[in-house]
Amino acid sequence: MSPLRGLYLLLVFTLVLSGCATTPSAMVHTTIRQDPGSRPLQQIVLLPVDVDVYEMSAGGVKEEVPEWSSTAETNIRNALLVSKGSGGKCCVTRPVDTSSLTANEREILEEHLALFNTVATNAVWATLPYNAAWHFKAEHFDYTLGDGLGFLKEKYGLDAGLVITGEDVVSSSGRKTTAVLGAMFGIAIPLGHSMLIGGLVDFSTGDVLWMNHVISAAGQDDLRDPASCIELAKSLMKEYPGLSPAHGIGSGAGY
Amino acid sequence: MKISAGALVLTLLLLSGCATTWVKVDDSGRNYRSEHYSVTLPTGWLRLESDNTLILSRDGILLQIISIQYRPHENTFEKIEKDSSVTMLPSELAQLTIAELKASQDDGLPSLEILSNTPVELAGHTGFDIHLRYKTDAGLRMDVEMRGVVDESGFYLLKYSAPTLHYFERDRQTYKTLTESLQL
Amino acid sequence: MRHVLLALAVLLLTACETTQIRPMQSQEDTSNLAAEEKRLWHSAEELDEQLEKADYLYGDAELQAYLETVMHKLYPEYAGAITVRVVDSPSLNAFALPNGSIYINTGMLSRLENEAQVATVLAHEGVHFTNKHSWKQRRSIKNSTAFATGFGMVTGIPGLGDLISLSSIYGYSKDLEREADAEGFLRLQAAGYDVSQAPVTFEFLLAEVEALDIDEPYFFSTHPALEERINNFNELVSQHGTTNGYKGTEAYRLHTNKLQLELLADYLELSQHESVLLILERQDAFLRYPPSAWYYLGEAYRLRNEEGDTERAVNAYQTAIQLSPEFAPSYRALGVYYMKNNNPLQADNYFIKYLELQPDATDRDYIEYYRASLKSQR
Repeated sequence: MSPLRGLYLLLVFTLVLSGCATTPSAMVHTTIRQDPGSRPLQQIVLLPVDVDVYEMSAGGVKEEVPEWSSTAETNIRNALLVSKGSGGKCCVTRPVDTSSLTANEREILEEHLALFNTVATNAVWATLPYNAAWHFKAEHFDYTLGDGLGFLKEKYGLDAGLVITGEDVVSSSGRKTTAVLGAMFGIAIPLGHSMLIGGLVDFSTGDVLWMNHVISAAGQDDLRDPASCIELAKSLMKEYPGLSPAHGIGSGAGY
Repeated sequence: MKISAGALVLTLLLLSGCATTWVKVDDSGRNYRSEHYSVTLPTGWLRLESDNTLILSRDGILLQIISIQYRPHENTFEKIEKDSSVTMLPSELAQLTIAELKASQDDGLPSLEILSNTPVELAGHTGFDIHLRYKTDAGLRMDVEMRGVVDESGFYLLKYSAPTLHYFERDRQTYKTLTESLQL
Repeated sequence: MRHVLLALAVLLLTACETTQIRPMQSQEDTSNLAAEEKRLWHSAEELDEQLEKADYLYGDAELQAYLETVMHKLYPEYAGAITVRVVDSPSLNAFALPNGSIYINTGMLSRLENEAQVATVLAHEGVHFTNKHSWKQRRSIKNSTAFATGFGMVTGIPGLGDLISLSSIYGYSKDLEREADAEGFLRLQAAGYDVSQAPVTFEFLLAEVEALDIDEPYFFSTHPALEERINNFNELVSQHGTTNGYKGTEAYRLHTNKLQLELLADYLELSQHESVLLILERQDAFLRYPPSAWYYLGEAYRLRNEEGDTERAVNAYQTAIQLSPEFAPSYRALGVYYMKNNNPLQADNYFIKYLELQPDATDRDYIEYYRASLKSQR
């Protein structure tokens, strides 16, 4: 079970509440909102993309399909890598090579990613309709993971990391048949969804500089399809503070 | 620790405005009084009242949560089916509190580590102060501090929980200050 | 009515998958997995990782190596394909994941008496792996949920994504469990174990289930199923004859002895005094357990707190001190007893002795506090 299962369920809940709309909901760190140039970032790495793709059977049993997950991760990675900006400015993103980290450093990074998942779930929870008392957390977005990832800056010269996770639930043909039949009898059968969650973490301070999620109902997007991933990634990266408008998503060289 | 995703979401939804109302603590609302106790709350935090429990958080319940719970002496520890009593030693109370915590998780919290367990003065009585740590399924360490005390009426448990990384130590003094303000 | 029609339409138009799945013959078969099987293995591998990351494992390499030796005797043709790991949990449980990872709890290990009994459990779990029961069960669930969808029962089926639940909480179907018992029994016999221990394993655990009124997730699924399985094993033993097979009592105790006191401590930490009493009130208990176990018996009486239990507890602590004078907790227990019974001098003497024997006691602060309040009483 993915550690982000709770977050995914929350997002599906919000999807249901919003009636299948796919409005992105970017949150940007309060210091950047006040002064967009306050966080100059040179070296941004793409942390290992974690996307799970499931097939849902006629009866609603979900099984992860590892090959599809691998394809989706490759598609997202390629969609997000952008070419070097002019003058070497941000946004340069390259995939991080975690094999160069020591075992202890890998463990620290993994625990911080687990903390990011918790922060992300909390951040979404705070934006829920009917949770008005907590909406100030989105308006004054100041989450942090603490300074435990400072070694990535000191030792490896990396300023920040882009965290991307996601989930795609693809209906089997049996499920689709069941849904069509259901519709004929006036019974709604859920067909799945596609979703991506992104976050930008400043390694020196641990501040989450930006966070966003996109979720769409079944059939609208497919993370196994490179073109679909590019569109979903564009939607996800709206208001991403490190994005150079001249280059955009999908124009890069990959790796 | 195995908290099912469903249980987590249900908890989050129940603790959102759907079910109850969070209120921001301002200067005028710092002195909180219930039927059995009073405490001074930290300003800028949000509080929520639910059954016999007062819940507080500053950044959201997954990042830090303080809870204050009163339980009468009968069936105090529901999971292990034990009562508390005013004559109970603080070490015995601490033992039952840990047992209840373990029994409340399906897997018995195998990763649970007691970091310290000592007597503490609370509201003029001697209670316990337990600091423990466990790991979630995702490998995230969580720290919990629990202070508990009994009087003639019942058992009072003041709990603080937050991720070990960055969050726990950050608001620990706020929790301690709150517990020191407890009056029964 | 429309739900019935939908269910029938789904039944007709969506393909039900066969649950006739060929068992593995040897380790080579683990390299030829069907696509659907690979998905299950992938989930199993993720669960293996999760169990390790979340510190579920007992972490005793020697114990693990011993259990894998037992497994190797039972399934020699699967060397390297089956791993046995120990979960640090006092509950009576064991489960097999589809990828050959077999887990057994410290609670289960500490209750069993010899190698033949643990081999009974491991042989049973091994059949779930070789005969691909997870896959069969998953297919069966998918087929039945496809039909159930028509009735609007799209949710409410617990534990589908939870492989541990699949194999231990809800248990496999009765047919699959019977298959695992029967084929596991043959493995036990072929490996030279004393097969008469097979029903004994289950009889022993049935006694626990009855005495403790256990209804939580459990290796053996339901209580009636346990009785049936004992009958099945007795039948198998009478069909195939008892042997002078290997029991392995000494070897087993050598590797699992330290679990015993740890488990008693775990039970007391959970306030499960009934489990401790069940173990230590047996006539032969102190043939298996060290003398310091008298302390745990005393604690169990204290926690049960029925009429006469205080006296029983004190007697047990005193016996522990007599037979195991270096075991510190017994002194603490008597210190608390005398403190509560207004004998400050005796109480303090016992507390002093406790701290002498265990200067780095984690509850030292409590003891010092108690001593200070005793001083003020004198």
